Amino acid sequence: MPPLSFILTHAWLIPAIPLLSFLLVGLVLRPVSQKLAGLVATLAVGTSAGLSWLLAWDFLHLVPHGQPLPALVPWSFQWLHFQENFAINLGTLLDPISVMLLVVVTTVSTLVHIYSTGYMHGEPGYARYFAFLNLFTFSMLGLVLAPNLVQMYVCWELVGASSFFLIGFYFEKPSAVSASKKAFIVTRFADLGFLLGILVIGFYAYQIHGAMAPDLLHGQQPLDFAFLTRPDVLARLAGLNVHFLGVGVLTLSAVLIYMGGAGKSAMFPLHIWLPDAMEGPTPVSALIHAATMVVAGVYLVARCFPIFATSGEALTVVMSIGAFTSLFAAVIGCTQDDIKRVLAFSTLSQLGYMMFALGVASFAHPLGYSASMFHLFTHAFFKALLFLGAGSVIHAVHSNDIWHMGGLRKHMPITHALFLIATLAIAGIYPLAGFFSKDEILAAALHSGHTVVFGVGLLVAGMTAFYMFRIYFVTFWGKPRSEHAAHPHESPWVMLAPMAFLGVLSIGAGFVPIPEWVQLPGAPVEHEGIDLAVAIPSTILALAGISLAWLLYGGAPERVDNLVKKLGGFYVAAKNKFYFDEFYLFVTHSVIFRFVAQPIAWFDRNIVDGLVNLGGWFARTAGLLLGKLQTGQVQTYGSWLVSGVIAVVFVLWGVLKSGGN
Amino acid sequence: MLMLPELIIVATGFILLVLDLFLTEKQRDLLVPLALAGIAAALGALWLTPDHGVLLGGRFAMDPLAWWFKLTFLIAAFVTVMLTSGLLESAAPEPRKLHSPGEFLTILLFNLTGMLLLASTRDLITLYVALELATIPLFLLAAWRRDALGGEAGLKYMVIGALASALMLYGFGVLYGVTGTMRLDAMPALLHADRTTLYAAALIVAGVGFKLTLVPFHMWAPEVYQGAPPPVTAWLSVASKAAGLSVLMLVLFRVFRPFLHDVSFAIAVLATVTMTIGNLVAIVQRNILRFMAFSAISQAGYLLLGFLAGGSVGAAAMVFYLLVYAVTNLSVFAVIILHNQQTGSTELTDYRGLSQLNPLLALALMFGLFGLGGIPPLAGFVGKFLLFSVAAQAGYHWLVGVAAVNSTVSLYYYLRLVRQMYIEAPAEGAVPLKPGWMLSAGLAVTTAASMLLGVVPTVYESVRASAAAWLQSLGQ
Repeated sequence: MPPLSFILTHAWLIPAIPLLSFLLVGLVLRPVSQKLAGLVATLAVGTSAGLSWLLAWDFLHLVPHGQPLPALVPWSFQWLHFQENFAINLGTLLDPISVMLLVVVTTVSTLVHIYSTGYMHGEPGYARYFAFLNLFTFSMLGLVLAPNLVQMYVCWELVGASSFFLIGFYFEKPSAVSASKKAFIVTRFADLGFLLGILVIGFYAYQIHGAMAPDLLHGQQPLDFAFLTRPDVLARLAGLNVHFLGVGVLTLSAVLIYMGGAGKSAMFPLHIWLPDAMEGPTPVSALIHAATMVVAGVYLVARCFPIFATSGEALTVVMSIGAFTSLFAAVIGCTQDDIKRVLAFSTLSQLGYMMFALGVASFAHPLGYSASMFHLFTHAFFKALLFLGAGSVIHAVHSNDIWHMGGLRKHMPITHALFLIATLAIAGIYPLAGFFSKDEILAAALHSGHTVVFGVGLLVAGMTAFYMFRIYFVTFWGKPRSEHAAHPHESPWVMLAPMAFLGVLSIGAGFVPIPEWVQLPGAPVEHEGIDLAVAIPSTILALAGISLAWLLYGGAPERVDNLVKKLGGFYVAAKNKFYFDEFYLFVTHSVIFRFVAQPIAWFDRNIVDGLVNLGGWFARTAGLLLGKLQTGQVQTYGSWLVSGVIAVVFVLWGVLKSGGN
Repeated sequence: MLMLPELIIVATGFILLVLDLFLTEKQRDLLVPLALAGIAAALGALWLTPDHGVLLGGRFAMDPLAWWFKLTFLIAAFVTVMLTSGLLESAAPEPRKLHSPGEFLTILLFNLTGMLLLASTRDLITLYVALELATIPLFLLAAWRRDALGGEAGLKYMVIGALASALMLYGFGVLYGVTGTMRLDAMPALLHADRTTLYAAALIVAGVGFKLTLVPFHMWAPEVYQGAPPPVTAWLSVASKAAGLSVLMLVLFRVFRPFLHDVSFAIAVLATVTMTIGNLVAIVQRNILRFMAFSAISQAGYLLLGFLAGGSVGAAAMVFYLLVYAVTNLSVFAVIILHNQQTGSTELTDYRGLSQLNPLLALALMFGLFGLGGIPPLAGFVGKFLLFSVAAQAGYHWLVGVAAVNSTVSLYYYLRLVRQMYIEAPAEGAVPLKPGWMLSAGLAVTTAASMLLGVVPTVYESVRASAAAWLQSLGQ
């Protein structure tokens, strides 16, 4: 391997720059100049993006063409030292998936920053917005580069916190406040599982680590991914005869870690926060809730993939929940009227896709792993574009409801063209980006023998095309259905330029040979070109979905009403998101609050506080009484001193007697 | 070379004393910078001093832990002089001005010399002489103001101090009688765990307990802390305590080391009583100096936990906590000294509304108090954590519980002061305090140190390494 270039050894610069910019913008520039704040924040992230591209270039040229790319930690330092062989490092892990995500995150983040300078123009809190965008970018980059579970967890929480700040950006709006709380509480609840998973696996990994010969460790620490994913370590973990509720340690910790990933990636039944999170500014949704944060869960599972694969059962969980979520969200997506919510459910559905792609992968059939990362890559671009396009439309129409729009294609031709590109991409039409990655996932499901999952994937592909074109037709075709929709203005170039860039990526990203670069380490290379047995049915289904959307929504709306009447209850249930929010609300408010929280609150107020007050009273009284000993008479003090000596003498003699015998 | 820091301090003391004769009142303002320069030079010399070596036929020795003690003494002295500068200058406000700055500084420096020597003594006579040099000047400093409170403080301090000193000397005598040697290092081999030995131990513990303010040898502290000028109180609470700890470590680790494990229960009892009484009585104090006296008593209780494990972990934890306690306590005293200097008050309630008048001072004081209370991530927390873990390792889990409850109690009274500063409104016509630059610098440095020691692991790691080396030098 050639010597590492500057940027490879200094990859920490990429997250450090947004962090510094966050501090600078948040503490110094925010009160001074809004404009400067936006500019600095954007430039900082832009610099990181430039460095990431450089880094990716250098990384790809580390090994001769055709050889698997390495995984290295060129830079790290010890952060926490617990015991002789248990320390936590902070560092930068560079491997194909982290480099890929580095590029995705910084690129989309830069484009969103640029777009936001136009979209957020004149908003109060403009500088605060950019400061938090910087903070988010830093946290996400720290997460991506994490070489161990602890750094990942720390950045994971930072990502959650910055997401909370951004969803609740319009904090005067009660709905935004409750949405941000909901997102935070649900993901935090899931993170509890993640933390437990880290503790469980850390406990056993530490013991294995301690029992291994030092020269076998290569300086790895127990919680390093490099250590946890070693085949010999995994074999020992799998061989442990420790069970909890009949589940082995490895599976238990994998499922617990997955719980954290499921929360961030909004897998069923923890999906409820993502649609509500659309209360945040639209560029935020593009960055966080489409391209970056929500894929952190997928990334986590991919990062720990050998753990899941060794467990097997954990992987089945990932696959089942992923497949179910993709279908479930697609059904709901067909019924929503808020353009951002449709996009949110489509994100859920696509995340499900990525998850089940990981779930069908194995060391024998590693294609799903590459496919999942490939889809993560392409999805980031076209989904960000869809959100930014939606933002452009909302900016013009001042409403999120697709039924307040219509006929926008004449007034907003550029937005229309770009939105169409992204919609075709997500529908999986050749040769746009989505086609390739979706095809790869479906092929992975088929070839690894998961026929049912393959069927679900095909069905969802068709439904995706349908509901995406539903919003496309309703928004851009037909007649204007509101005052604003009649005279919209095309967005300014600062918003259109990043969208155009994403448009190019949505078209071209499918030709980037991600599956060639991203290979499961230690598994056979399994990659093929387009499999026609998959491509043809999926394309047919996509076209069918588009045609159906055209049929129902391209022309007269009465057809829809008839259909809705026929579907009846099912439609209403789907439109109400299958009442999951109501169910959670019932469980929390009517059951937990009333029967658990209230009695505990009573106990706390009366018994616990009473005891505390009693303790306080006792301490105070004792203090007063003991204070009386301080008579001010030096004779008293002298006698205390002498009695003290006598007491110490007797205590020591007593100790001697009991110890001597 | 080994004794260079001590020699520099003695020389500085004499230079100040002689210069004082020739200078006018106004020119005496030069003495403070001169004293600081002397201490700084000693710090530099200490930096170059090797951390082991023997002088004077083994009566004076350097070891890695003595190095840390000397560092603590010198830093404490440096900061104390910085904090005192406002009261020593010729323009200081009258009733609270400290007269005769030359003599004040000379006595302080001689006192410092005693402490520096104390850390290096290896036989009974040197130990006793150094200990007296580390004590008697304090009587003078405590009574510096010659008013009713100051006189009372000085006199009480001297009477109790003499008593403690006598008991200790008696203990030394017994020890000599049993072993027939003056050399501390030769004693463990000659001692047996019998009543006479333990009798001597109890007498010595009482003498050191006086310096360390262990209950029930602490009764002088509140009065002296209150009556002495606040800078002297600051010096007393930090340096004198450090000196006490260095003697106790000398005695327990060098002389009574074979029995240390057997008497650990007695240490645990002493620690429990000290921290509990200190904390409980601190709750009801209204005078900030008395309040700090009881706070210092309880801190001594925590320090004792380090003796429960005989190994280097305990020693390292104690030395590190001492360092942390020194900078944190000095940062708190910086604000107390300034407040007293400009308002003349020592009442807790007179700190009300400080956050509105002097936000930065209030913040620094709050950090200092939080540090003493042991709130993460301040250094006070880390230091306490290390001490508590020593107790836990020694199997004294109940004592860790007691210490934890005590920490909670202590938070209550530290927060009482914070409440005055942050929640109560300022008094009518209260004016912001105007700190001099030297005091501000002292406060800034100690506050920064009290935070950094908690997050930067280097210092603890080097203390730990020193303690390990020191334990080896004890000749296991």
